[in-house]
Amino acid sequence: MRGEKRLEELVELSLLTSSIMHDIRGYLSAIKGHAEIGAHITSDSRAKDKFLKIVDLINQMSDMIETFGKLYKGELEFEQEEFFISDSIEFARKLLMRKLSGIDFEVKIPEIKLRCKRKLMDQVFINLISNAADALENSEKKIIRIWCEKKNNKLSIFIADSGCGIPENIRRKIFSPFFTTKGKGTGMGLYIVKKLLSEIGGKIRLINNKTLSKYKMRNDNIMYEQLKDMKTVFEIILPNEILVR
Amino acid sequence: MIMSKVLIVDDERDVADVLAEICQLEGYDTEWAPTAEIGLKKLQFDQDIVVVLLDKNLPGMSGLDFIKKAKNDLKSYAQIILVTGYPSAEAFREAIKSGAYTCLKKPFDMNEVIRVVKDAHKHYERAKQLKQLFVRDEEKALKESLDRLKK
Repeated sequence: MRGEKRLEELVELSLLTSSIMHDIRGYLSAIKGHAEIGAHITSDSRAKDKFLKIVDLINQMSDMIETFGKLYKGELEFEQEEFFISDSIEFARKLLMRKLSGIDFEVKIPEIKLRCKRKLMDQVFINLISNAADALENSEKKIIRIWCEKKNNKLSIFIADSGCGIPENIRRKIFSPFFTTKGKGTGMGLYIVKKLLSEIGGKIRLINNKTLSKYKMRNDNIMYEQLKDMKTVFEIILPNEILVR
Repeated sequence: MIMSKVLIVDDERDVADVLAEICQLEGYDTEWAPTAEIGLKKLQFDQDIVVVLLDKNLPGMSGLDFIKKAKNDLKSYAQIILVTGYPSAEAFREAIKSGAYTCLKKPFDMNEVIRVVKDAHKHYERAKQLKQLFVRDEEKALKESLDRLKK
């Protein structure tokens, strides 16, 4: 009975989501159109730059919405590219620059090249870093740390924050659709990350306290240093096949 | 001089206004219809309409039904551009099969709108010319048959 009700809620929410997305596209079209006309008719070069900046941002936003829509309908197609992981993280950092102000953003990733869907990885980092920044909102120490470790033919990328941590009782639900603890969230972020990673044979897991203390015990490892002050740690596991040698 | 007209069928006034302004920048006259039903009436009685920018999701009659009615019932030469937020390959195929000129994705680029509207306008002119040639040929053939009969 409870399951049925949940399913009903999900169907209702998915209808609502697609109708909201339709409306958002309409508004974006109008804003973008006005900005483009503004850029076209103004003779002031600074004003023109401002208008074009709006157009740029709208394009980024609509890319995100399109990705979300396609993911939703299972029609996601990204192009294969060769790229450095650090470039993908840097792209996410630039996009989230305002959100990350006042946060120590420490990235320790050596030059590792991947061959997979670049935009997909960008989206994964955008979602995870954005979540980490949200978790730091009320924290005194504001640190986001990203590092990686290669073991058993697999590459693990860790994304950690010094925020409030995730309570034990909700740890199992965080990858479910529409699950959110943030008042403003849609509850789709981590669900999307999990789905995107599965497309390239990757995985994500939230490292639990037991594993965390085990890692901390391994004081011969860089892990010990990295985990200092960290409350939430996500591990992305990428398959060997997408690493470029 | 009579200006060529673009009919914009979209229930979202903000979007319709932007499309109208873009078309006006290129020297087109514009008409707005908030529903497919009103749009069809305008198309039926206004001979200056050369291009229609049509939203796919409309209250009441859908964009696709508009295309079918405009092409099959009204036999309109106006070229219809379907504007849609989520252009799946299937929707695109269906629109083209029903007689649409092409599809535009929301949010659209101003330059893309201009390019597509201009192309559609050219296509309209060509289709009309062809029709005139066809009618002229038919008339000529009729006249010749009539002359032959008279002889």
